[in-house]
Amino acid sequence: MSEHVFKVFASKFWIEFDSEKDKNQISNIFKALLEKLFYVGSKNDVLVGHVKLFGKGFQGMYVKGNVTGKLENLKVEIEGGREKRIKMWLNIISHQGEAEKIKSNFCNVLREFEDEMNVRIENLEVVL
Amino acid sequence: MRLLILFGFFGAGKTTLIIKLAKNFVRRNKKVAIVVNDVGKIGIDDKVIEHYGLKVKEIFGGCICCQLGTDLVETLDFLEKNYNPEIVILEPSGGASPEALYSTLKYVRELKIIYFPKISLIDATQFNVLIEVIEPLIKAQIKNSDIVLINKIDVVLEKNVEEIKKDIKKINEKSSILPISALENINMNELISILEV
Repeated sequence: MSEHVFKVFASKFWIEFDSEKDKNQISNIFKALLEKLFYVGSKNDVLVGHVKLFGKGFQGMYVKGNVTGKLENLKVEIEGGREKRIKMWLNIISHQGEAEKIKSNFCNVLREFEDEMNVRIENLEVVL
Repeated sequence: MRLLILFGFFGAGKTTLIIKLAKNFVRRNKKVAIVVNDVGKIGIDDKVIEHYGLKVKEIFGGCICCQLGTDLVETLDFLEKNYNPEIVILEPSGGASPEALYSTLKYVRELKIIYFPKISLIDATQFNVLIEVIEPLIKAQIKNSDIVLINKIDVVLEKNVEEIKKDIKKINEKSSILPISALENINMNELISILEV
């Protein structure tokens, strides 16, 4: 068996907050994003695969996050103080999902995420 | 060049473990390089590892056990000629087949590679689900290992770890099993001494 049975989705974009946010606020924003993406790739609340993200802030912030298996395994790790703009890279790898469905759900999730968290997504690049 | 290959499914904690091991090797004045394989066309693990100041080469956009096998051979060759590391840690993608990867490495004829014991990493929080859903891959990773590391033991009950140990023994009775938590540094010294660096 190889990775061929997994659906792989990769993306990079910038996130801009409405104002400068501190570490805790940013942690909560990324937890919300990972939670939404967990449901994009999972089936019956189990993700066989992972969602992984990495972010680099324009003032030096470092963000690392992932979720695998169950939602309770979601983790976000942040180093740095405050940021207004973060460059993001993320991968969704799923055994259950369909690539095109993940892609379309991903865009819906980003729209919801922008509205709910009051952030702006820019320069989105998506690779299947 | 000594080559340490760390198999494990997506999310098992391979990158976290590799960063811990590499930092330990560097503290012992070893020249270390890391090769990571992301199946996604946008790499993430290289950025995480580079953040810790470690030397990393990434092969992304496919799997080194199959379609990117040639890239792996070239990368190892490049590292030896340009960086000459004492230790290379290789992180295959979570879906990599050990048999296919070891077959690919047979083509690395010009390099003198000394292999560390074969290691696979099991996520204690997910083992029961994965062994049901993707049994052939998980079994192949365990079967092809000299050492099976049960990771994330800090967040599961001890009795669950014991059950996982029994299941691993049924698949590969010859393997050594070491429960660890790479994140919380549990049994990491034991692992380092097994690796005899």
